[in-house]
Amino acid sequence: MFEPTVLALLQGAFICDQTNANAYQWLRDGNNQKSVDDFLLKIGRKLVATNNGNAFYAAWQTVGQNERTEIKNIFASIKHTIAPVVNFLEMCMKYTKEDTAPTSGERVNYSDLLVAVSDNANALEMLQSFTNMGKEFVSFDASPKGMLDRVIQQMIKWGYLVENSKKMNTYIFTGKLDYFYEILTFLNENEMPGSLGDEEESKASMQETLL
Amino acid sequence: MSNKTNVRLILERLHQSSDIIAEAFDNSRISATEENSKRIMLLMQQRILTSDIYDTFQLRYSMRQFLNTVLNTNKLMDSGTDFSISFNRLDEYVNRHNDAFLESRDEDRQNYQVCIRDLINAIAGSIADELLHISSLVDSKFATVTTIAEKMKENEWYMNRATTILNLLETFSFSDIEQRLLGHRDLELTYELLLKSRMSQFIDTFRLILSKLDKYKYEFRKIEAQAKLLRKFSTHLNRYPDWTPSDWTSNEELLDWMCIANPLSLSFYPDANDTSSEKLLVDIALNLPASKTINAYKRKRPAGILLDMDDAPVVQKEFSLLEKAVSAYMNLAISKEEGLSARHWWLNNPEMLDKVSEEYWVHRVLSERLNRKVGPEIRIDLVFTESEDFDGNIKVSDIVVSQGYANV
Repeated sequence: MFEPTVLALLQGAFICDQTNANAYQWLRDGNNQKSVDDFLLKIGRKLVATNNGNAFYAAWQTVGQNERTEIKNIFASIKHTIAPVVNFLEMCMKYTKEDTAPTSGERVNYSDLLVAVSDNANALEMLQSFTNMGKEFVSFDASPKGMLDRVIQQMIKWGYLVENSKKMNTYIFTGKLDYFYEILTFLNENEMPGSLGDEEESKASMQETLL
Repeated sequence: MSNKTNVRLILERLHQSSDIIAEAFDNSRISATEENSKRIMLLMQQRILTSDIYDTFQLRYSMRQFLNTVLNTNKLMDSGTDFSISFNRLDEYVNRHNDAFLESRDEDRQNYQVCIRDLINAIAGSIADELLHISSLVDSKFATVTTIAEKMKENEWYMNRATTILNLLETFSFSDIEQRLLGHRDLELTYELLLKSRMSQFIDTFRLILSKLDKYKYEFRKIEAQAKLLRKFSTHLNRYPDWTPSDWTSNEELLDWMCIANPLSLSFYPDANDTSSEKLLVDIALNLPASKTINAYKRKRPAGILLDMDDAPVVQKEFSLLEKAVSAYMNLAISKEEGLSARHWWLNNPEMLDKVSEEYWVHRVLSERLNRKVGPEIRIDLVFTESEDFDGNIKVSDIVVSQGYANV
């Protein structure tokens, strides 16, 4: 299990229960973590787990000038994903009748989402707003289904969703979602306090709901 | 004393009208009929019922609240209370059984034995059912409710319930029931097999459930925090669509999530000398596209024979004696300007034309007129006489081969 796990990590994979269950279970063992970490350290990387331990990934051990350039590039692409992923998670929260934040391992029922965006004007508006968030969301098929498919495919491409059952048309959130929440938590603590307070935020949210 | 009598009186009246109270509680109101009107009036006097619109009556608020409280309490303590009662009853039955045994009341003792066995069985079954019920709820993370607030309430309620039962089981496992059953083999076995042997498993499972519930408590709080976080970001992004985070990667200290290593494009090759690579090599071989330029080597090597590929085999053509003679004659003839008679050559070279008749030799040389290009290199003249009948045939008596006009 060592070799495929290390190769996956080096290729930038987030190893979690949903994407690579065997490697993830193997990595949960402390001894295996150590052996992988020891190997990665030799090539300037280290093994990192997300805050909740739902996913593992490889990070730079030390950051020099070259690594910093790479980090900047990756951070730039992460910044680009924040708005669409937040929008998608919010959409799932609102329209799958579960008022809880999606977490890794939770299912997304495609049919529920499609019914919501087809029947609900607000949901459709939310779906249409993706087109302003990047060219990757522009779809030749302007129907709700076409747009939703495009969004789901992009979430799969970014590694936040995996297909669960083709027959049932369900998808599952991956452990990478933990990583995304880490980013949001950091940005919330370091950039957001000046923008909106909790009370203001809840008022704004309530107003939005009423509207 | 008088107070006790009053309480009893009230309870008796409530008992007599329990059907009316239950209906009023379940349906929010009750209609007066000829049968129940008298009792309804009585309950109104006791300030348990109050008039509603038209001819209907409802429970007074205080009574409804009391029933709600009692029923909720019953729900909360349902499982724990049941087990508690069962354990107490078991304790009592064991005492009574022992008393009957000491007093030689065999019939009573046998009755109590049956009761104890049934009770032990019932307790073990109830605990197992309870575990199954709680486990399914816990494993589904309380899927029966959807909102996080309700899930948190359910989680807390089941934590209390599991703790109560666990305490009860732990207390029971330290009790002296087992000692008191000593000597009664049948009961000892029942207790041992049905309850005692399973008790440690029950306790462990409840502890596991409690640890899960404790974890969920933490997770639910986290999910709630994440939900708030998402809503906050969503609202913020709706207000400021052009907002992007600052460039935190320029900081001196970087968090782990920022230091994510860029993906490497990896390709690897199996070691052809390593036996463990065999499967991989077979897969590669099977997936190789058919080559258009290289033909498969179709000739089969005979079993047990190695082909020496270094020395390419050369096949030397064996010329017959007659062919060698023709070649020698022709070469000699074309080197002579005046030519060379075939019959003359046959006569002078008998060693080369062993067993070849003169006539056959002339025929053979004559056929060379067709095999070789007569002209600039070679000239072949026939020595002949025409047929006497002038039929066009000629009689060849000799052939003279000489140099062609190019060499003259």
